[in-house]
Amino acid sequence: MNNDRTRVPIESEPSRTQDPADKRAQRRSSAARGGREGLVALLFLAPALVALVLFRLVPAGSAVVTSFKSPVVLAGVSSSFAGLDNYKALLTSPDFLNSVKTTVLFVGIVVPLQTAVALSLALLLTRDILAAKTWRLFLFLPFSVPLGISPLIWGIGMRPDGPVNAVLTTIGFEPQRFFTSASQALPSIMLVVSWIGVGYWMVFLIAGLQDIPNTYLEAAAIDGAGPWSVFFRIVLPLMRRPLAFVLVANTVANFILFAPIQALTSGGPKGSTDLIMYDTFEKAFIVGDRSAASAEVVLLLIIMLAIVIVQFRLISAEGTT
Amino acid sequence: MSGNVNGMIRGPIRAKFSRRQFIARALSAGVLAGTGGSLLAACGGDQQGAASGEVKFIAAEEPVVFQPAIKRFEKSHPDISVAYNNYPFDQLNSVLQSRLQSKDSSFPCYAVDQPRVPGFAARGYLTDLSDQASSVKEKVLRSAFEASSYDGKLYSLPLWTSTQVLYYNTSLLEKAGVEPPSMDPDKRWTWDETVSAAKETQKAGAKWGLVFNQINRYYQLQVLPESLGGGSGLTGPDLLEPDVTNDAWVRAFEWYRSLFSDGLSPRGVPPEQTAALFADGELAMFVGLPSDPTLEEAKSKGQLDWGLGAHPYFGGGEPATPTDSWALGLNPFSDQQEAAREWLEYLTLEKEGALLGAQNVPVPPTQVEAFREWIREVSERPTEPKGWDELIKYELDNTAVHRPRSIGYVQFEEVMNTAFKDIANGADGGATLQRASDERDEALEPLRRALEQQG
Amino acid sequence: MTTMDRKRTFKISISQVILTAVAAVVALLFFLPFAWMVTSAVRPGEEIFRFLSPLSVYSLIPKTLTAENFASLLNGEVGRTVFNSIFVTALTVVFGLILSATAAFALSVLHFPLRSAVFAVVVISFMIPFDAIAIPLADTFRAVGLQNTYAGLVLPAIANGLAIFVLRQFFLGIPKEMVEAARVDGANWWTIFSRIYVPLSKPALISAGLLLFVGQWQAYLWPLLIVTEPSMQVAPVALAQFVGQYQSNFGTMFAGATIVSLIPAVILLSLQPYFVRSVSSQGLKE
Repeated sequence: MNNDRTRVPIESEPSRTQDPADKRAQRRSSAARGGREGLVALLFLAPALVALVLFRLVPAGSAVVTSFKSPVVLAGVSSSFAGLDNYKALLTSPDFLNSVKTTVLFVGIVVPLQTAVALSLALLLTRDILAAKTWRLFLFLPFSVPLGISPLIWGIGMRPDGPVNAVLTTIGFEPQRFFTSASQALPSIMLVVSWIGVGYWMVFLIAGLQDIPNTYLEAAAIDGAGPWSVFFRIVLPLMRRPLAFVLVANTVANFILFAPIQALTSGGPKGSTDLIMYDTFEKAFIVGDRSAASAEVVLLLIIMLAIVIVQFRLISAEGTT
Repeated sequence: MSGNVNGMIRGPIRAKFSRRQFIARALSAGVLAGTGGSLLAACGGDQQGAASGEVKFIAAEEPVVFQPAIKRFEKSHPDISVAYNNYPFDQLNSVLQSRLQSKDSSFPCYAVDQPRVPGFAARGYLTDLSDQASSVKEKVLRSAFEASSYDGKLYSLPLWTSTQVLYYNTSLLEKAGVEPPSMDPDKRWTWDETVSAAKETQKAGAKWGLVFNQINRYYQLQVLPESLGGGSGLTGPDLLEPDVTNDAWVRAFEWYRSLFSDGLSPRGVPPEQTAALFADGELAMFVGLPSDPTLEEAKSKGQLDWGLGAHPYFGGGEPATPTDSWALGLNPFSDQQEAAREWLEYLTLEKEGALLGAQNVPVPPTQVEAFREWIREVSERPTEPKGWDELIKYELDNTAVHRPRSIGYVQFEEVMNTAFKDIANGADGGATLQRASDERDEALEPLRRALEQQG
Repeated sequence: MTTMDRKRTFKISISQVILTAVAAVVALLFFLPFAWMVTSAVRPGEEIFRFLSPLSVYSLIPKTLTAENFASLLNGEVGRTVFNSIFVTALTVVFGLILSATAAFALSVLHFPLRSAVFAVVVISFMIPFDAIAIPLADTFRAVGLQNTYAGLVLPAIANGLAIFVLRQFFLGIPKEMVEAARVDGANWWTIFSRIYVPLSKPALISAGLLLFVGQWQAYLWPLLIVTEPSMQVAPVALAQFVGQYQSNFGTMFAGATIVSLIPAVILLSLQPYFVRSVSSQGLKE
């Protein structure tokens, strides 16, 4: 019986703002508890940790090692240690720098856009409306379509001689060039990716919204608060966790995106859709240069890590993680 | 998977399309494949022994393509069973490349795209078959033999070959009052003539004038600068130096760009969707395979009437046509080479195997007798115009241009296809080719260095 | 379907209608591409590209209806591959949830040294693009004989750091008082986990389940690398088969895609009721 625990200050979530005295007290009790709970924790963690190490970290380590080697180019010429050559080549390559720029631009626009739209849809579809289930189903379908097929459908739809332009011209607009124009290709990819992603992230946000107790909303209504006030003062703060999750997960997902690029634009026109992961895929699978591809992935990871850390900081600064 | 039941009228045996017969055949092939499958499960057995055991075979065709040949082969070689595994066409080369680089020994034989033979051979992914070279040479078309070799050695057994012709929509040309192109190779149109005819048809109401089947792909477009004498784009002693900025190349691709900017070809239509443009009757002229299944089906169903002309060329230059297709290779990391070799030889060097294997594809086998038979059978189809077989044979013998036998072909093709796409979408021909040249130079540098080291 | 408020004034009725209309329009816009795909699946192959432009009623309504595309599916391997996809995904979700929930519990409720370090490992792991490690991982799996096995297909997908992340976030929101109370009552950690945390976490479990589900359902590269037997292949790879070198069969591909797409969507729909805020979470958030 762990009676001593009742005398310990109630352990609040580590990220809540606390004063230093409480923090010190926590740390002391943590250390005391570390041993006992450590063993239990190990048991709880073991399966997942083993899986993560074996199926993610070890091959990642292998990829990092490969990034320091020279590419295997001919039979009988074995791969040798090449130090930072692969990295140097990438960092001085205008194509790589272009893909970094393109990727950051892409993620910088798509993530806030998708998150905002997903949140709006989540709010809309949790209102008291008719046939909400049907509308939600329509939003689940995009991410259920196999990833090889949704870009194909959009590719056909957005063919310059295709139905989207047919609709535009009927309404009175000029037909657009979409994937065939260097200025429109990336936005077109964003459209396709958002069509797929918005419904997906919406699910997580709906879960978050439905977790908000009715009592708060009723209280607010009784106090006469208008919808905007309710949203900003009650809903948004309580949605911090789900939103944080969506933001980070969405960022990562879009950083490592390449399937629609492969299907629709092959990085063009003029390199305007040359995302880092697509370039990596090309190098690894089509050209067979695993060393350069691994180096590129490491650089991608570094960039992504930096951005995600910033996101984490911003989110925790507000009080919860 | 047996996929398109409707579209499978490619077999030369079937003169008349009968859906019922088809489904019956497809089902029975499926059933036999199923029983074949369970037999395979039973005889996993002896994999070390010479010429026996289960042979895994990888290619990109639907199972129905190889099933008849596999059945027949297994009957005559009761100790060997062939397990066919297909990958989506778009992924086959990369998956193979990836597995072979990892020295995967689980599959002894696979289909290799002929232009990739040098690259695969240089990387040690193909067993040297030179001990058979002299006998193979006699049994297959000469050009196919060359396309399956590298550095004087035979590394693969040729399976099929290909060529291209000019399709025209009979009624669209009539409406425009344009005389159709001739199938006589000596009277073939120049590209200029083709373009002006195309423009006429568009004035008379055709939506599109001229489209290449494999839009933006090197396979299709290599012959444009070649026709002008500009070479394949790779030069130097090992064909590892880019040469795509010469006058012929720039001129050819400025011409190509104009097809799109002048509205003869639609932008943004990928190769898999181009045949539909012609089959739907919107397109006047189409450069494609001589027995394109989609177009044959459309004609036999009465959706449209088309005729054929010889592949055009640039006036003042030489006629040039695309060629080559798949070859079959042995995986040097596998220990089942003997058994696999027997299977491959059956499929490529024996008339019966070669013919069976080519029944359900629109390209001819390279085995000499099977080739003759195949050409004859297909030319007797009601959809093919008279003289079809003469045209095919002429092109294959005289105007076919191989893709460069370079170990850097993959890097080259990759970059060029992207450049072609940019040009089609409006980028300046000269500048794009220059950029591609520089990019490729960078990509090919490690190969040049490695070859130097090897000495 | 849950409702936020149900007031019986005239005002809410109007807004209900307006909101429904807005939702309908938005949902239908999202549905259009899928609708086109279904239309293409029930019409003969040659009609698919015929009505793209100019716009006509046949752009979305098939001029000729046919079941041949769906019938073709029966002839081939697609049925088997759909079964494989379902089976593999189900295993992934079940085992993935077990792994993720236990790990999340340890990372949110238990205290031990290096907790932050382990959490950092979890976060980094989900940032590793799977396609970047697919090749080395495939080599290893092949070496240990996991090629062409269901285990080979399932194992990499159950290591999902994001699922752990989601569940951990949710668990952090469950007040510690419940844990304290249970410990006072002498409950061991497993009981606390299974009797308190898990039942309260249905929405988070569904979220994590969705992550695992979609990750496995949409897997394409991994099955390409690890499967060489046609009978072990999964649906997305099988569907890619219909775009061939010489001829593509879009109709049958879309027919297959229709079936494959409906499965996750319908499953998710049927889990909707469990998204309802858990009664016991009321009043628990401070």
